[in-house]
Amino acid sequence: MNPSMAGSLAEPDYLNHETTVRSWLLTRDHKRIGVMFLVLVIFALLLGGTFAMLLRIELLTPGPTIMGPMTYNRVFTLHGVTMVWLFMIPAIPSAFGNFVLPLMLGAKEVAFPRLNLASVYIYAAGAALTLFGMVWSGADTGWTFYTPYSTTSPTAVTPILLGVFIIGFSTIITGLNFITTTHTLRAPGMHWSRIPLFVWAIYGTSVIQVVATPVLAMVLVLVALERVAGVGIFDPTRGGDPVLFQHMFWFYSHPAVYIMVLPAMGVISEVVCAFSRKNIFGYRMIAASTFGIAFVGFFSWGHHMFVSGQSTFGSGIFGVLSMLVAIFTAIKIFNWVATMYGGAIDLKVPLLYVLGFIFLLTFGGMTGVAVATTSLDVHWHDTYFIVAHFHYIMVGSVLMAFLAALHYWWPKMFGRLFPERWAFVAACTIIFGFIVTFLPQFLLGNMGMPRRYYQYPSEMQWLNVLSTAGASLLAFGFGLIGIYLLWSLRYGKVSPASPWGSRGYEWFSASPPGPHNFREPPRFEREVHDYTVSEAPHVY
Amino acid sequence: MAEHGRKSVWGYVGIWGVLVVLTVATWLLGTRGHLGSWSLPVAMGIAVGKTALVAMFFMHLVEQPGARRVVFPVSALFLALLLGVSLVEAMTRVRMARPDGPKALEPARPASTRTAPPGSPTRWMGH
Ligand code: HEM
Ligand SMILES: [Cu+2]
Repeated sequence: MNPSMAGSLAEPDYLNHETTVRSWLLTRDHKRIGVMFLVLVIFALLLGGTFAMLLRIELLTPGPTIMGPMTYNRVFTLHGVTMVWLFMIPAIPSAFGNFVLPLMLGAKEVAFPRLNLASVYIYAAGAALTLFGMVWSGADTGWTFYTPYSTTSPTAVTPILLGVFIIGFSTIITGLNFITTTHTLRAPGMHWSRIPLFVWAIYGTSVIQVVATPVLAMVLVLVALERVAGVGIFDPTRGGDPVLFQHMFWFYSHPAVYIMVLPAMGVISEVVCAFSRKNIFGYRMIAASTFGIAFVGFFSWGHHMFVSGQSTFGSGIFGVLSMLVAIFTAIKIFNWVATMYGGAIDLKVPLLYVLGFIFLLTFGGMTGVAVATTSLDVHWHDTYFIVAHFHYIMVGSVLMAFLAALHYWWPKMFGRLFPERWAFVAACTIIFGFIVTFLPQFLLGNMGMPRRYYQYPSEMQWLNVLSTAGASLLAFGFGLIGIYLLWSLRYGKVSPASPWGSRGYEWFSASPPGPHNFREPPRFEREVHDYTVSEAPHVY
Repeated sequence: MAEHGRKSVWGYVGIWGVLVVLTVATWLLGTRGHLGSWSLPVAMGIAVGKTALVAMFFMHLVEQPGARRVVFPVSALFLALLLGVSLVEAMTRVRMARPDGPKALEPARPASTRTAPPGSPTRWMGH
């Protein structure tokens, strides 16, 4: 055996030191919990993706194609609910945050391991209730559950609402766990100015999760109460105010878009360093802009309500405040590009996704500023332009970062290398497929095609066909990734402790790490991602 | 946190006394105070003060180091942000351009669906 592998296979690792089903189901190991979350969220992604393909097939022709209007309404709701609540929000923090955050801090565990396990089951219970609602009769409100329709819709809105409500607790617990771990369990040498940027990103995200999620919980319960008990909170015929729902919903859900994108930005900050062989340019600015985004994210929720009867005064203020986010995002983009500038770029698959991320985030963010302009949004609101805007960020950026993380940390998690060439093909297919899917949607929206309709005028068909073709490419790319990753679990080359030559702190442990992460307490004596030294990091 | 020393019981009794006084004050102001539209904000203000006392002394926040003490005011601030901004928005809404319609149709339309004129208290609390 090659000596560099000694650390990775000779001793039992977290995967094989115990192998019973029970040892998985009752584990308190953050790494196993991360893996369980990874499996669950990938399942959600598959489900949401299936709904997405059904939508795109329906939109292949201007008239009815494979379903009627009521079914269409249900399918787009299920797509949104699954993707946003079951996949996007938990994905990066719960799966990769759980796995690598303690490793990066040099900790043996998270602060509350039992709560951490509970969060898996709470997520699973919430997801099960949501799925039950979907099977029972679905829902047709869209993922946003807007009142007053959601209080009167005859579909199974209540179980889905309550499922999302329960998932919120999982989010809160995970957030608390990460905040406490970061404060209390850092290894010697890890002062605040050395904390890896991925940890900063997860920390900022956790603060948002803890502060904002209760508001979502509250508003969902209020809708459920109004449905079940007829309390008049949002229904105007009972003296309620439907716009109040939107205030409370977006008070959570706008910051929630940063719950999705901040962890993604954290992944990018790590990967960009590892494959440019340079420490990050502007560490402090990136960390600070994370909190800038988290902070101003709380002041812009009203940009979703420009045409909901919100006061023009409110719209003006919210429009201006929304644009501030662009400044902090631009700081990050500038610093990533500056990190690559003059670096020894190694164009491996994770970096390819990072390039896709930076390009698509810029596009998505700039259209965000455009739709935050009240006068423009009157035209674009509720058209495919908005659909394209947020898919550029949620799919184009967050999903790219998810895939970057999946590839970058795959050897860390499972100790195997994936076939590079296939991964390269898949990455190119996905980035190209993404652009073909969503670029036409900007044009469609600008032509006036409304979102959430199953029919459209026939002169819009060619753009819709393009979009569906792109979606098929995306599906193909995902299928490919699924196949080669599963293949690599068994047949992939065994990975050395640090296959990418990364100096990130999480690579100071074996790959895959032992059950207690490190054999001896690690010491972090250099800056994270210090490539000025030539020897590989010591494996603790 | 067992180590916060022997605290005199009388401190807690004193705080309790203050809470009782504030409760009575709320009731008196509400029933005899004739504060009109101010009665709600005043009552809420007193309630916030009482909550702060409970959190600080009975939940021992005053004895905590800085980082943990921040949690309470930050949560209060976020709540204030949500409520404050939503109310400012609701107060600055324009009256619907749609006229109330022919008088003959009025009875069929529940009063609660009509937009009250700006400044009317029903725009805050409903009917
Ligand atoms: C960074 C990550 C972002 C994500 C994940 C995101 C996500 C979303 C989503 C999901 C929606 C549609 C909500 C719905 O279903 O109604 C949306 C709409 C909107 N976004 Fe973003 N967004 C992001 C960034 C931005 C930025 C930076 C801005 C402004 C500077 C912005 C401004 C808007 C506006 C104004 C709307 C409402 C448009 C309308 O409904 O007419 N977004 N975004
Ligand atoms: Cu928003």
